[in-house]
Amino acid sequence: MSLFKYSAPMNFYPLAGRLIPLFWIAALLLIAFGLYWGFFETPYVLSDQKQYYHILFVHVAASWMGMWLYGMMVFWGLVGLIFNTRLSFMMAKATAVTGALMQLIALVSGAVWGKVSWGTWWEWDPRLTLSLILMFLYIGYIALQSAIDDPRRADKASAVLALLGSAVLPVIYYSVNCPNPNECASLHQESSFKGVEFNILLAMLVTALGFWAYSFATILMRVRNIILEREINTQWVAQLSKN
Amino acid sequence: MSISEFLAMGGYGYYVWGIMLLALVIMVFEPMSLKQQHQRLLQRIKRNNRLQQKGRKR
Amino acid sequence: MLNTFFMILQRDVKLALRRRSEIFTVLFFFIIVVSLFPLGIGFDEKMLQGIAPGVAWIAALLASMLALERLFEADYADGTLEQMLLAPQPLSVLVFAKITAHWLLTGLPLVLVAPVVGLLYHLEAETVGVMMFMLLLGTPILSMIGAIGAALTLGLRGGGVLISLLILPLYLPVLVYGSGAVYESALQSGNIEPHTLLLSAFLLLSLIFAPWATAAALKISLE
Repeated sequence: MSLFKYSAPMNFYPLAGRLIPLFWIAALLLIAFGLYWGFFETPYVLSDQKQYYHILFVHVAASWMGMWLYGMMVFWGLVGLIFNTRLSFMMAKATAVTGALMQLIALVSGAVWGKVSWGTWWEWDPRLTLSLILMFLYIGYIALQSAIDDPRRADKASAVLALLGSAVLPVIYYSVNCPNPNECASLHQESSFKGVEFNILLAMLVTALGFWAYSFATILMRVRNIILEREINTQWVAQLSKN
Repeated sequence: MSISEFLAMGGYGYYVWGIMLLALVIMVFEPMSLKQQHQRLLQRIKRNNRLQQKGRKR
Repeated sequence: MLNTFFMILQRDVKLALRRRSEIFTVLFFFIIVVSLFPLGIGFDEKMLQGIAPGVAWIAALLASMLALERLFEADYADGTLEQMLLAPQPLSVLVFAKITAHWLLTGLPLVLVAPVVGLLYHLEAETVGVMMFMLLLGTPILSMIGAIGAALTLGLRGGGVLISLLILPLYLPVLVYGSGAVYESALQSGNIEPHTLLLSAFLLLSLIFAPWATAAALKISLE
């Protein structure tokens, strides 16, 4: 019964408390190193002499996290629906806001990237459109969460919504990338990492890891708040503030 | 690479540093508001405990 | 199983036909939205033909979104929905009957009224034909995916707006391929076969999964 001990909010609360500072240290170190490496160790002049590629570090990290956290949200929702464990629902609810914020950073930096490289603030390029749609899915999830008062129903309903969203997402991806099947040449965009110089790639990955640690830290903090809110009148919470 | 060159970022300074600033603001504001929420919850718990004590003493 | 399906279907259609005005509200909403665009954008014929597919589909999306709230609301209010949950027949069959009834009363009229759009937007008969066919394929998908949203937001304050926030992003593939097909046939007169296949695939998928998902969502909302 070693691991399942932590599926009870009462045990998970102190565990999360201990983990949070570790994730914060990891996040600060990784992001600092990633950005330092990105700004100082990468070649000063790139082939097309554009200095704005530094935006990529934040943009790639944030959009990865935006997508990854949506996946986590769906996962925790699914686990909650199957095992009916309250904690997994709490994790799903905690992930939503951080995921939405990460997606917001990805969207804004994507728009700025569009401005510097294509000249317009918004370009209906499939990737930008998809991250806009993912943002709508986040907003829909959070709207449903806050519209339902009873926590049990809110958790389950939003878990179903997240599942529905993730089921339709591939179809949306296909329809955005290939709106006109007649002349839809290549659906698979070549991954934009092929020609990237090693140092930039390293900086990008390290920054992304830093964003991942940051997301975990904030999600754990929010989960602790949710646990306190929902278990406010239990015995162990009352003891909590004694020490 | 002098400081001014670094800040200018080849003419794209506003964009690059704008994004960095936005990310920084979000990634500082979110934990702070969470910390605040945490403190408020703890106070609420303390108040609940006090109310219960008073209830039992009478 | 089948006769319960038709029993519920008949019941819902009869109930709705008693309050006939509600059917026409959705219809007139569709026509009004469609006729707003030329007033807003302009009367140039070439341009109108260009925007007609998108406008018709967006109006269809909004009209079916509008009608979704009434799908479960009445039964939820007077408790028949709880009875349905307790019925021996699988809930998804009952829900599928309700969705079909809803589609007959809101989706199908949109298809029948499409020629009006053709009229307002100077579309040729062939394009209107394609639009009607695409709407025939697309509106059931709208009703089914929308039903899941209606079930999730049952009895919530501001349910109507909430449903659109939840469900509109999920309607995008239907919008893209539905209007794409009409656009394709109207201007490039290219073949619309891939669009039809994709929409029918989407229709089949939602036929299989939507009733089951709506039933699950109803069980959650009514617990």
